Amino acid sequence: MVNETYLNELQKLRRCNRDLIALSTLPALWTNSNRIQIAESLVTVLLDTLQLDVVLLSLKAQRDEIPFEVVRTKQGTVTQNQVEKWTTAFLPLLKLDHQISQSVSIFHPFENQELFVRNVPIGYDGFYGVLIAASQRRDFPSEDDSLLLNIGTNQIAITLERRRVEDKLRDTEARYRLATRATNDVIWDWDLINQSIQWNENIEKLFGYSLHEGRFDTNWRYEHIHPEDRSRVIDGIYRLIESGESHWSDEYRFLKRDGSYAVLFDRGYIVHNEQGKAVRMIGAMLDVTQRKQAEEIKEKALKEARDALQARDEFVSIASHELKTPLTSLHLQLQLLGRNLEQTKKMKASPQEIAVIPVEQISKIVHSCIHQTKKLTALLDDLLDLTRIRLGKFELNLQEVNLVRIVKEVANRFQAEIDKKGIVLNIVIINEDAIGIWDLLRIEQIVTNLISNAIKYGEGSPIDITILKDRDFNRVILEVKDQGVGIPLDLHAKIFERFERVAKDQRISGLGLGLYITRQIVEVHGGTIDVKSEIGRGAKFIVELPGKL
Amino acid sequence: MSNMSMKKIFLIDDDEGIRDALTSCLAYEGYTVVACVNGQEALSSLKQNITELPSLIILDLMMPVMDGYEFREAQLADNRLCQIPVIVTSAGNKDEITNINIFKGIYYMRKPIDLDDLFKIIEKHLD
Repeated sequence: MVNETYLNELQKLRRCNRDLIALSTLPALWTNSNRIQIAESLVTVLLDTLQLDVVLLSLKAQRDEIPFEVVRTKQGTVTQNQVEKWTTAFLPLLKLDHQISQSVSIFHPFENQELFVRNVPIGYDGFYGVLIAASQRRDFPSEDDSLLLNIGTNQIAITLERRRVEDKLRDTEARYRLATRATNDVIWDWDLINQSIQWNENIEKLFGYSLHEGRFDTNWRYEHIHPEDRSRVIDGIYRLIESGESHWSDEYRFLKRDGSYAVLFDRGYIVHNEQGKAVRMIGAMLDVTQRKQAEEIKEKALKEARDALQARDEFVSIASHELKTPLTSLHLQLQLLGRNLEQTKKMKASPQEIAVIPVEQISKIVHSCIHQTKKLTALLDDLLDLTRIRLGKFELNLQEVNLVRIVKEVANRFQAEIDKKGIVLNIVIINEDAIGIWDLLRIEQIVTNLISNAIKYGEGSPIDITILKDRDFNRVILEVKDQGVGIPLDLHAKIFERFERVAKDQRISGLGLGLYITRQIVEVHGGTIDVKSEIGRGAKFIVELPGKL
Repeated sequence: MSNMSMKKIFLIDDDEGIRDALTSCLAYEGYTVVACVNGQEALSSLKQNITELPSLIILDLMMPVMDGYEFREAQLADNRLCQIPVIVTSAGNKDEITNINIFKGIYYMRKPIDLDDLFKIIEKHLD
């Protein structure tokens, strides 16, 4: 009957079609399955659709996954022991050098029957493994069987291949992520055609910008470069792009979310297309803010050290000059006295004629010598004070002291000098009880320094000294004012430093230590010293000391 | 007393102690000394007494108002004063005047000054 044959064929075709669909949908079902689940699923589907007796799937080791065999028979799953038996039975066929296109037959290891077997590689040259199908049917494998077996193995090969590629990609990405995390760099990938930029997560860590917040495109990037650096950086990038070169780098400041700027060392690589057009730039920003700051601090410290050394050298030069001046006078006069003595011996004259230089003159010379030794002593005292201050060995011998008495005494000592120079010295005492617990000699030193400065820089102008008390804060205040050269505003703080002098000029005598020592004495007493002055309008020094409670 | 008495020497130094001491020493040796506090004072004094110029000038370098360098320049610029011999005294080093044209051939005495040396140099200059 033609119809029956026709119907049979149609039925076979339908069944084949149904099986094809079943097999082709498998990869979709395997999305979340592991290798064993996938293998079991394929084996089961093939067993059912092709109505086979036994299907064995052997998958090779892949990456960190172990090799395994899955066996299904029409009776269902098999024991591990049976798996081994089947594997042994199929052993020659598992090795693909015995690959067969037509079926061979073997004896069923458990039942007394013949099985027709076909092996199919999975993946190119059996890269992923082998599938073995066995049936009692004498026509196995039919054309349809072969087709379906090939499709089934193809499905698993495609799935395993895709997973392998995905794993590789995941590995690469993980490595990239790890690398960028390890470097701490902000990595950027800049599309030069549509001006978009992809950033890695370090943009949040380093600059505080969250990647979810918005578009961090070319404009955004440019706007965040420090205005002073912006045009230089942008010009540099475009110049390099135009030149056709590939490597760019620059150092600039970049605005962080918190409003501060990070100093960046930014490097980029320009990718060109086949026509040589720059289409993409990939780079990494390294935050060098701290390194920069450390460099600046180091440079500053180095400069300070150099300045200090230079100041010290200058000071040594000034100090030796200053020490030599009284020494010269002393030396000359001693030589003069010596010569006079020699002369006297030679003359062997009568006693009243001994003095070739009159006695009054000799007496004057001796006085002058004493005066010069005092000057030397004062200079050396200042030098000693400097060392004491530097070593922190400034000790006070505290007692009750009245500032009024000290000022009067010190002024008295200067009387001869101010008379000679025609200077008028006014002392205004507002509070007679300007008393504190201080070191008498040190307070004398303060007053002496201030009056001596007023004489030196006052250019003969009147000197006004005022003594008063601030009862609210229990402070004793001393003001010493001259009307001389004055001090420019920018030097007001500096004059209290070591080795500073208003006239930075060796022609004005003195060590330049007076105000430095004065400030140290005032501060060690818990007081303050300040100056009010303008150039050409004299200077007023104000000392505040804690009064006696 | 020296027999070269009444030879006039100009002394220019800002330090009173040195001025006084040197004046005494030179006077003791028989010289007439005119002591000035700085270059400017010396210059105007010299110009006022142009008919009685000194035989020698002893010049300090570091001084306020007009220092030794400025004085020497002014001296050389004046054709009456430029012939007066000069001895430089300073608390510094000789390199203060070496390689400076205006001090070419000028004798340098380092402070503190040795009187024997000073008198020898003076005599040499005055001969």
